[in-house]
Amino acid sequence: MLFADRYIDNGVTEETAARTSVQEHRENQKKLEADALPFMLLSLLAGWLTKQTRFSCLLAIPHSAFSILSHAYTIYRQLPMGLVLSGQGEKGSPLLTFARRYSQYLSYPLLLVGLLWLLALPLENMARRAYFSENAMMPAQADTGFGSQSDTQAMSQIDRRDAGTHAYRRHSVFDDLGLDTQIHRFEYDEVQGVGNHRGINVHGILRAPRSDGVEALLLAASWRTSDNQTNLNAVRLMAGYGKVCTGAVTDAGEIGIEKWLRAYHGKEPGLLPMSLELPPATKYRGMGLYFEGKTGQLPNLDFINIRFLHGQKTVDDQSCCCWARFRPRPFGSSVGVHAPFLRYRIDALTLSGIVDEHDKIDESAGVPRMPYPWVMHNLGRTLESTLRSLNNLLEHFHQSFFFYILPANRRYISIGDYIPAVGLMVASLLVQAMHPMPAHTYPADQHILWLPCAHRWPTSMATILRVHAVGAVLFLVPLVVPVSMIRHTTSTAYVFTMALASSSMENNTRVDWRQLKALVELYVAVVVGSLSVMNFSLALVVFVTTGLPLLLTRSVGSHSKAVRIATLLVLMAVSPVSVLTLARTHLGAHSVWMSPFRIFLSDFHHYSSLVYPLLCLVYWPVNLLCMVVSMLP
Amino acid sequence: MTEEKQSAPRASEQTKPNIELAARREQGKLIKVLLAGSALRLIIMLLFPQFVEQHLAGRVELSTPVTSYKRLVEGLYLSSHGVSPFDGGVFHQSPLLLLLFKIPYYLPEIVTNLVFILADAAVALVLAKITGARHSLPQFSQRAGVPGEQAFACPPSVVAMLYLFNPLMIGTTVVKSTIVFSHLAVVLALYMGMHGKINASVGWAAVAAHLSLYPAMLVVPIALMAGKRQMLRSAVVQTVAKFAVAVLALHVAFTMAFGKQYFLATFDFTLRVADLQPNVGLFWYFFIEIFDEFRSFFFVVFQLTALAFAVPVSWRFRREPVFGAIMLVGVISALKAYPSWGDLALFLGLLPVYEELFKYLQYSFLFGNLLMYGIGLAPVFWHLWIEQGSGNANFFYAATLVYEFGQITMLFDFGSAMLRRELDISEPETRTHAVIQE
Repeated sequence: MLFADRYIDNGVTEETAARTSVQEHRENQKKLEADALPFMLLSLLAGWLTKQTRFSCLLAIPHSAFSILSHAYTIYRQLPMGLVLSGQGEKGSPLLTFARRYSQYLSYPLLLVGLLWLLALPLENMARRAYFSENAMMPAQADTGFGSQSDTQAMSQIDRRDAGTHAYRRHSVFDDLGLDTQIHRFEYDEVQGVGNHRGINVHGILRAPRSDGVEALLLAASWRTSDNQTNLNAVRLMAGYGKVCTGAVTDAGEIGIEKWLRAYHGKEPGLLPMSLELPPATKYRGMGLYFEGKTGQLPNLDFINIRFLHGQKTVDDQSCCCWARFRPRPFGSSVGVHAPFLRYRIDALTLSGIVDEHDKIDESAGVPRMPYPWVMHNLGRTLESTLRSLNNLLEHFHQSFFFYILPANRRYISIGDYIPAVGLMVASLLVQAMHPMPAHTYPADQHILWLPCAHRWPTSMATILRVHAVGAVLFLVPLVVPVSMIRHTTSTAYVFTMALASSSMENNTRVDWRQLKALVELYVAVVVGSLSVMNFSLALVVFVTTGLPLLLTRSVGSHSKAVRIATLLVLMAVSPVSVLTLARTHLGAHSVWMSPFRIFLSDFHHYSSLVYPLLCLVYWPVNLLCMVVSMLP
Repeated sequence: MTEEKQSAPRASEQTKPNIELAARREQGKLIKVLLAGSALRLIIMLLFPQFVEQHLAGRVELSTPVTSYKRLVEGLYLSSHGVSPFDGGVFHQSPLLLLLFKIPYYLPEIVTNLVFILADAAVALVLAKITGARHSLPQFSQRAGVPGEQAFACPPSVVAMLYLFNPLMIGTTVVKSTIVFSHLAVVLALYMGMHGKINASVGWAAVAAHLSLYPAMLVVPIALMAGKRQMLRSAVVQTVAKFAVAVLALHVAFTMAFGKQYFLATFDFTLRVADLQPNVGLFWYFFIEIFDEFRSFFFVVFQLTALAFAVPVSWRFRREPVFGAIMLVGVISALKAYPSWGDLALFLGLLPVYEELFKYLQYSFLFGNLLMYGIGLAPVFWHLWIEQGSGNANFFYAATLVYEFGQITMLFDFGSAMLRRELDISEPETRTHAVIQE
C-alpha cells in the first residue's frame, strides 16, 4: 500500500517489529494447518477404506475444528480495526491490502467470473429439484369431473364471429350456468389524446356454499392473446369451465384486467388467479408458463410447482427455457394477463398453449374450428385438478421461494445460487473504484485519502449532478407536458444527448477522470446491487448497458484524434438512443410510430415499472459521464 | 462551487478592503444558497403534492411515530376541538409544537409548509454561523494547527449548501417531519454555547430535549463550553442545574395543562419504545422478538446504550466541546429509539464544520458505501416486504443494520481522526508516522 511504503522509508522500528511478529504468527499458523491437513485427509481415507464413516468423522471433526479455530485466532490477531476496516499501515487485513494493491487488475477477473457464473446458470448442476413446501394443497388428491355434456355445449356457444358482441354472449353463457355475472365497462386515457383504451370486462362468480367468502380462485382470459391473436379457445374453455370459480373475460388484455382489478379489488374477496391463452389451433404441442410481474415480481414457487405436477404431460421443456424467461422480465412489456395481479400481492400465472407451425389456423380464413375434443378435454382436466388443489389451500402462499429462476421443468435455481453473479459484477465496480491514484499528486506532508485529489471532488460531484439534472429534466418533461414529447421521444432524445454531451464536455478540465469514474462506479454499484434483489434480470440489463461500458472506459483525451472519435462512437453505440433503436422490435415496438420510450413511459404510468426512471436517471446520464470521462486528459 | 472558492488563501493575508469584499461576497452566496434551498423545497411541495403524498409521506425512513406530520395534525385537530391532543394514542409530540402550529392550523396549507421550510433554512443559517464562528472567534481561530497543513477552509455558504441540498434532508422537510424543529433547537444550543451565552444555550438544549428527548445529552458538552470561562466544576454544576430547572419548568407547565397523560404519551412513549413500527433504527426488530417479561430490562439496556455516551464522549473531546457535541448528535442518530434519515442528515450537516478532519479519515470508502447501500436498500426491501409480500421483516432489518454499521463506522472514524489531529498538533514530528494503538 502507498501508505505503508512511506512509513517503511522512515524506518520506524516499532513498525518492523510489529511486522515480524505478524509474520511469525502467520508461519506458525501455516505449520498448524500443515499439521491438521494430513491428519484430516488420512482419517477420511482410513474411514473410506474401512467403510467406517463414523470413525473417520470422529477423527476429522476435532482436527478441522482445531484448524478453523486457529485460523479464526489469526484473523482476530490481525484485527486491530477489523477485517475489512483496516486502512492503516502494515497491520491491515491481508485481504484488503491485496485488494487495494491489485484492484486495477482484480476488477476484470471478478467481472469475468461473474459473467461465467451467469452463463453457468442453465447447467444441470446449478438447479435444485422442485418440491412442495405447502402440504395443505394435497396435489395428489385432486379429483376431476370435467368433460360432461353441458360443458361441451357451453363451449360450443362461443365462436369467433362474436368479436363485437362476445361480452354480451359471454354474459348470457355465465348467466345460463347460474353464475353471478356482471359487465364492467372501462375507458382509459393513458396520456391525454394518445393512448386511448376502452373495452368491456365480464365476470361471473360461483358462490361456494360453505366458504367464508374471503378468498376466491380466478380464471381469467383476454379476448386477444399477447401476440394479438384471438384467444378464442381459452374463452371457450372458460365457458365450459366457469363453474368452479370466478371467471373473468377482458377485452383489452393487461389494461383491461388492471382496470377490472382496480374496480374489483377491495370490494370482493382475495384472489388466486390463473389466466389462459390458447391461440387458435387444433392441437397444442405443450403448455408454456408465464408468471413474471411488471417489476420482476414472481409468484410463490409452490404455485408454479403445482402446475408442473398436474400438467406433466402437457408442459413442454422448451417453453421454460432459462434465457427465454429473461427476455420479457427486465422490461415487463407484454407479459400477460396475470401481471397486474402480482402488484396486489396476488400470486398469478398465465398458461399459454404452444402451437406447432403446421397446426396454426389462419385467422383471416374465418373458419371457426374447435380444437380436437381430446385436446380440450385434457386441458380442462389439467386446469380443474390444479384449481381443486388450490381450493385445498388454507392460507396465502408463503412457505416456498419468492426469488428463483426456472431453468427446466421441475427444477429451480434459488436466489442464493444466482445472486453471486451480480454480486461479483458489483464487486468488480467497487474494486475498481477503490483503486487509489498515484501518490505524486500529494504534497508530501499530507495524509493519504481514498481519492487523492480530495479538493477536486466537489467539481467531480458537480459534473455528476449536472448531467443527472438533465436526466431528471428528460424524466420529468413527458410527465408534465405529455403530448408533444411522447410522439417523437426518440428524436427528441437524440437532440438531448447531443446538447448534453456538448454542454458537459466544456468546463471540465479540472476534473480527474479516475476520480470522476470512481464516483460514478460507486453510484452504479449501489443501483445494480439494490435492483438485483428486486428484479434480477433488470439488474443484469442495467449492469450490461451501464456498468460494463463504465468499467471499460478510460481516458483517451491525450490520444490522437482518431482514437478519441472511435471511443466516442463506441460509447454512442451503447447509448440508450442507439440501443433502443436497434432493439425496438424486441422491446415490443412493432409499429413505426411506437418508440420503446413510449412503451416504458406507459408501463411507468400503469404499473409503476422502473425501466423508464432507470433509463432517464441512470443509464443515460452514466453513458454521458462515460463520454466525459473518456474525453478528459 | 468551484475550486478557487475552496482553496482561496486565508483572509489574514489580505488587505482590509479585500476582507470586507470577501465577507460581503460570502454573505451574498449564503443568501443565495438559503433562497435556492427553500425554493427547491417549496417547488416540490407545491408542484408534486401527489408524489409526496403517495411515495414519501408514508415512508418510515423519513417520519416516525414521534415526528410524523399526520399525527401532529391529529393532535391539532383534537386540541382545536377542546379535547386533549393525547386522547386516542396517536399524537406523541411535544405540546410546544401544538403551540407553534396553533395559528397556521387555521390558515391555508402553504403557511404550514413555509413554517417547515423556514425552520430548515434557519438550521442551515445557524450551521453557516457556527462555521463562521469557528473561523472568526478567537478561542477557535487562534488554535495551533498542524505545521505544513494546507489551509482549506470550507466556507459557511458551502456548509449551509451541504445541509440544505442533502437529499435526506430535502425528503425530511418535504414530508414535514417535525424533527426539523428539534434540529433547529440543537444547532441554536451549539451556536449560543460557542458564543458563551450559556443561559440561552441551556434554554435551547431544554427545548431540544423536550422535542425529541435525546438532545438532553448535549448538556454535557455545553457545560464543558461554560467551563472554559470559569472553574470547571462549578460551571458543570451550574449548567446542569440550569438545564434541570428549564426542563422541569416546561414539564410542570405542560403537566398542569394536559395532566399526567402528556408525560405518558411523549417521554414515556419514547423511553419505553411503545410503538414498534419499523424504522431505520435497531430497536423495533429486537422488541418485536423479545418476550414481554424481559421488555423492561431491555429497554433500560438499549436506552442506556445511547445515553451512556454523553459523558465519556464529551470528556474525551473536552478541548473541543463543539466536536464532542457533534459526535453526540451522531450517537443520537445511530442509537435513538425512533431514528429517521433526518437525524443522519443533521450529523452529516454538522461534519463539514470540522472540515480539516476529512483528510484524516481512513474508512471513508467503507462508510460511504455502507451508508449508500443502507439508504438505497431500505426502500427496496420495504417494497419487497410490505408491498410485494415476497420478502419479510429480516430484509428491511438487514438494510437497517448496514445503515447502522455505516453510521457507527463513520462516528468512530471521525473520532479517531480528531484524536490523530490532536496528536499531530501536540507532537508535530510524528505526523508522518502511523500510530497503532495496541
